[in-house]
Amino acid sequence: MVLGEQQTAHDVADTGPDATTAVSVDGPFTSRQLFRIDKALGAADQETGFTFSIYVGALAEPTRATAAGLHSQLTDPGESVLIAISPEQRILEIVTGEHAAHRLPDRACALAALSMTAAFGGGDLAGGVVTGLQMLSNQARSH
Amino acid sequence: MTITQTVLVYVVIPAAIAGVLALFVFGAGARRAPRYRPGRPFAFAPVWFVSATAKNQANTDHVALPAGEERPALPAGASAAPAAAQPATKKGGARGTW
Repeated sequence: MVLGEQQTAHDVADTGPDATTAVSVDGPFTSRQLFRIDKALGAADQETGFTFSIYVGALAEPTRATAAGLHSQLTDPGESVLIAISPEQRILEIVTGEHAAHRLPDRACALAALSMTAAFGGGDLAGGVVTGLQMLSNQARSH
Repeated sequence: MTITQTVLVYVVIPAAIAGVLALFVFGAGARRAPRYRPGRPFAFAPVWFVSATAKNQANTDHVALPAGEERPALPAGASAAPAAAQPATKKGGARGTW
């Protein structure tokens, strides 16, 4: 990947290659999309002071607890926001830390989730991620 | 016009034009990288990233494992299981489906 050095990829959720389906070694994003996401992540981090993180992959049931577990593994969970997307299950989970939740109320997250799922429904993963990051960042900034 | 000329003008030339158009339409699609389509299986490796410029870079000792140390492998089926050992803090957020 072109931007390989710019992203911290963990295989935490990797269940190992599935025997029945050939799993692509690449992520679902092209390098151009990765660049856009990285720019949006950087802007969101800078504007809000939080650490935004994107996970795209399968989430074990219950998905909410799994996403919360991933969120807890971040460096500073209290100041972090995790956007976990499972395209296979068609589930999106936004997890905010204790301090981040003060400036990002659940209603604002729900609004961002709504607009993200609208983009995902059209097959636009990267566009939805970028839109969601911008919405969350704007919301946190205005508080 | 001879039969050869007729065939050349009315069959071979239109066929060549149609072939070029088909190449434009389907050739571009074949070259494109696989992408996610709703409802189709998602055959990509899971990715998880943070911003390159994030303050995480200052805490790389926390993110990266110390040299020589290996994180125990997850048991099969327990994909990204909730971390039970982590202290439970209050978390907010939202969920969505599509």
